[in-house]
Amino acid sequence: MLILTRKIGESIVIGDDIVIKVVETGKNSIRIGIDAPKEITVLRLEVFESIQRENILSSKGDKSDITKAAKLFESKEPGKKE
Amino acid sequence: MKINTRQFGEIEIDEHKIINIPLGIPGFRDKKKYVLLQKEETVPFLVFQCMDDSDLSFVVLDPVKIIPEYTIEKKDIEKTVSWDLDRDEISCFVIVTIPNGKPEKMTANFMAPLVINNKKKEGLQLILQNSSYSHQYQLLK
Repeated sequence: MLILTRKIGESIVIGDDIVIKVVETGKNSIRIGIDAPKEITVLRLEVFESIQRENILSSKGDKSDITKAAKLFESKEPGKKE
Repeated sequence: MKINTRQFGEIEIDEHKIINIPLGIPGFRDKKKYVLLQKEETVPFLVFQCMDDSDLSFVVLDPVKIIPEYTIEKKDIEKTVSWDLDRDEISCFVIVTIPNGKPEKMTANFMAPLVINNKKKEGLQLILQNSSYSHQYQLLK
């Protein structure tokens, strides 16, 4: 991993158009500002990983469970007439 | 055209229904073509079937069926794609996870809905990282 030292207000650039700026530092945290093109998604790593994990889990569902889930859903749907 | 699906075997689909996901979705970035399928026995769920891989499919659901006030802000979509939101019709689905053999424990990902532009036939999984919605929202309580 590349490690650089920057002062508050200083930036780094990745490629031509992704700029990361150190905005503020605290005791155990730093605030960073990111300028990137629209098509570049910027996410907190743990958020990205949780969504990725959930997508993989979802894709591994047993295909026979969807009809069971549909029946359960129908019988428990609030306000549904018996 | 005929396609192979994980849930329903070989079925006939209308080519116009193919949805392009140019960026794929996290975990499946290289899978870019999908189709939405629904059969009576799966209502209210739909199946989001990958066209590039017949073994890949997701169970999806209209989020409003669970959280009637669920909305996505225009600015969150506009941050990511250049769609004409005033003219194009947008659909939204949440991806459902059904733990094997435990359908009563199913959850849905309200933090990262699938957003589809019906006019452009293009979509993406929008990650709402500052949202208060859970990515593992229990559907049956």
